[in-house]
Amino acid sequence: MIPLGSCTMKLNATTEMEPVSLPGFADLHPFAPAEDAAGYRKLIDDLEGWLAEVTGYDRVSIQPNAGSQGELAGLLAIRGFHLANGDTERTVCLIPSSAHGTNAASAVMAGMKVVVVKAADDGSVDLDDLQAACEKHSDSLAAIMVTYPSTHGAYEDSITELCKIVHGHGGQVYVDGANLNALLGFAKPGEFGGDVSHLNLHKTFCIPHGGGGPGVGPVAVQGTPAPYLPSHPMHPEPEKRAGIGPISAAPYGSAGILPISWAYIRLMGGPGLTRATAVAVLSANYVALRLADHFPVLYRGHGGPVAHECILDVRGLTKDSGVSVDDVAKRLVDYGFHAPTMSFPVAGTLMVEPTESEDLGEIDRFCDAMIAIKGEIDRVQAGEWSPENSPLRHAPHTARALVGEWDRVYSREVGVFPTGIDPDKYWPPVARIDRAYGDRNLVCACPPPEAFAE
Amino acid sequence: MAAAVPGGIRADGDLDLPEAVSEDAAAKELRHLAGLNRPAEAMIGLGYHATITPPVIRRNVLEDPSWYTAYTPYQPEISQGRLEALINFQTVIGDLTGLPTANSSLLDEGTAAAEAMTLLRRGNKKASGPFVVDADALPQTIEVVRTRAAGMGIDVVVADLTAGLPEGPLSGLLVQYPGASGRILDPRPLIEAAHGRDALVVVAADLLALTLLEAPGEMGADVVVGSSQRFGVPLFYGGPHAGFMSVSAGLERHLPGRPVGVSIDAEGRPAYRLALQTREQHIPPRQGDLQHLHRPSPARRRGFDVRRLPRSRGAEGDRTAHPRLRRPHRRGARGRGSGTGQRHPVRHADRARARSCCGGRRVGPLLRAAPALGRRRPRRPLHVGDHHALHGLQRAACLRRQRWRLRDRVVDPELGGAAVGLPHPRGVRQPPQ
Repeated sequence: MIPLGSCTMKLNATTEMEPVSLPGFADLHPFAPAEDAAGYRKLIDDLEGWLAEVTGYDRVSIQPNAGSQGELAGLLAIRGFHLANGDTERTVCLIPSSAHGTNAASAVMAGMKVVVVKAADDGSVDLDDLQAACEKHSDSLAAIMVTYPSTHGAYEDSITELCKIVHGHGGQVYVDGANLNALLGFAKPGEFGGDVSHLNLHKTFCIPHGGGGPGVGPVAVQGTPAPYLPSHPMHPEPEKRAGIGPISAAPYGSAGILPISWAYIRLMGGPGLTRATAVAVLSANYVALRLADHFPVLYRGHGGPVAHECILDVRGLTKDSGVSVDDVAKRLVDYGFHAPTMSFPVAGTLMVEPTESEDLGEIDRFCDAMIAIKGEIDRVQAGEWSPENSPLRHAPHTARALVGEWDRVYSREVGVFPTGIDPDKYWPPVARIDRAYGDRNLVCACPPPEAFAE
Repeated sequence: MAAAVPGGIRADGDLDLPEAVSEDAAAKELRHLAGLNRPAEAMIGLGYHATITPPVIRRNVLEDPSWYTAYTPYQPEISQGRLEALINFQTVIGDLTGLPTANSSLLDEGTAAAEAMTLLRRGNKKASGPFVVDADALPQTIEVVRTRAAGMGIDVVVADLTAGLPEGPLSGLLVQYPGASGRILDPRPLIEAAHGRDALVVVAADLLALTLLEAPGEMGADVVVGSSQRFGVPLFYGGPHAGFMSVSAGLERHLPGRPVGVSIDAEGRPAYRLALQTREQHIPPRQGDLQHLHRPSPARRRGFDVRRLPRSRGAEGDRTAHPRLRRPHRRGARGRGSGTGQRHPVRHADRARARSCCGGRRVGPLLRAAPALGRRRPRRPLHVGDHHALHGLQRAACLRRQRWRLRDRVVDPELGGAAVGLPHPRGVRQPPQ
């Protein structure tokens, strides 16, 4: 289980992955004549149509080859729309304080000025602050960028009201599709007020993360901004050659991995996608419920449920015990888990997104590990271990540490086998890495072999 | 879900999608779609080259879930294999481009060039004026740069650099090396002239050519960008591929994304992690999986092989990375098709055999019509990949039938004469004993 919040690490089924290697998909040149690419054309038309259906938008372009590129494409579409209306002054982009970091960066790249909107105490966008910002920038408002459900992992009731306010001041609503896995089959951004969105096929639609890429970040638009989707001077579809210009070097971006998302939707159908959303939300609520007595769950929607992910607040424990969120993350390695997302969107917290792909046994194993780590923090808090000498601070434990001299205040078993002897134990190849040392002494190429001498 | 999702946003009705099918049926449909594509022999070039993905790499990297399912290595203690592969990639890029620091976060050559343009603005506040782009740059690179520049309010001037830099101030320069036409322009005078006007220089380079040509970094380039696709990543109809960027000393902290760097662990041993941690956690993506497809050791040999193929039919002793194919006065062999690539019918000596090789379809390499660069007659640059070395004789037969002839171009011998190998010959470190 890789419980990374906001990243939607779901199963990459072999049937979805296999077609990528078929010569018909792998060996085609991007500027081959259109009649030589009939298979791709059908696949892309299907996929763009299906994505439009599930998001409630009119048109989709799969050209952007990353989420950040999709954001830029979406904002350029909004900019193009305003310019075509003669609204050259509409350049202010409102961004809630909880937004993904890429949002603000994309807005600047699209030539917009960023104005931050505050969050209310419950984590939702502060509508009073939004109203004030909209009134102040009424003549220059270009757009708002919101993530739904929010990056806090909660369905906010106020989203329809938010869209109304922004539309009332002539702005467009950009809904970041990072959390679409909590909406498919239940709500459509294009219907509840969004004008533009980008999706992440590498999150919601099963393209693997591949250590950080490659991704696909299609941009979806409603009605008016449609003519401002990415174009390409050598596009196989002649009507898409002129326009705002290409966002990516190739007309269809990362075309070679689109069969993965095509296969996912083909295998799931409408009812399957809807059920996946429900199971993902159920899993997150199960984690929130099991861990709530041990780690406070930071934000919840109306009435209590979280969306498809939940934020576990470690800050109180850090204050009381000296054990940091980093220590918890590294200690999870000893328990055989990849850490959840750390310190996003709130510093000192962990964000867990189990997705629909994990079964109950695996989710329970994760919850058990978190509860056991809380038990270790309790022992630090009780004074049994100092934070510096605790197994938490020394995590992760390597095989080298196990067989070497042992001068720790806890036993070898507690260090490396906290849940008992496990034949499937994962052994990290290195101990805790000093990140600051490497930044002070920046080396980004292979060190000489002597550096590895014992 | 009724308790969780606010009623006001609930969609009416079910999703209107085709009914789900079994895994077997979906796989069959995808095979059918793949079969509708006709890859043919792609010799269009423009930054995309037919290449061989060695089966051992296809099977053990591209198709291996332990490589492709993993997350961005934010937890470095459990990602050392990934990070080591990425730092090897950065090392090879640094060696080939002749610049000390490379990253592994770029998507393709066009976006890498656009990122380089913005990097120059961050890294060099002295210069002002338009960003000048080589008219012989890849056409899609020029357009991606234009899109990005328009958003940020940067002026772009596309200029023929054969006669030197255009007059006036400039904030940066992008030179394509070798050019999209196959021409290899000595970038040194341009780099010197740009530096003389306080501007920094980006060279967009063909990585395979750099195994034979002098590294741009050694000729004074400040940034080198490009795509490493032709080092074994399939064409994929345009992507995903791995772009690259390397920078000179002093610019490393302006690199987009976070490069992989070396640090030490709690026991004092070298360990890898993403450097420059003060940045946003959500960074521009890296093409993690694709960098691992490249193996440095055969790179230079490949460079020679690819050069040898056209050269064997060119003028003796000429030196070029991209020979050009010129079509003499022959009528009737018109290209057909839409888009940039054009299929050229070829009279094959043994049509029956050709059909059986190509699934009964028309054969012929996909070539590109390129505008004349300062000459009257349009040209059809022929781009050769290592893939073609395998089919060399068959292709040669096709080309001879067409009475096409290769015109090599003599390049300043100094450019090739100074070609360097890889200072990190093994490309990977030895595992600690």
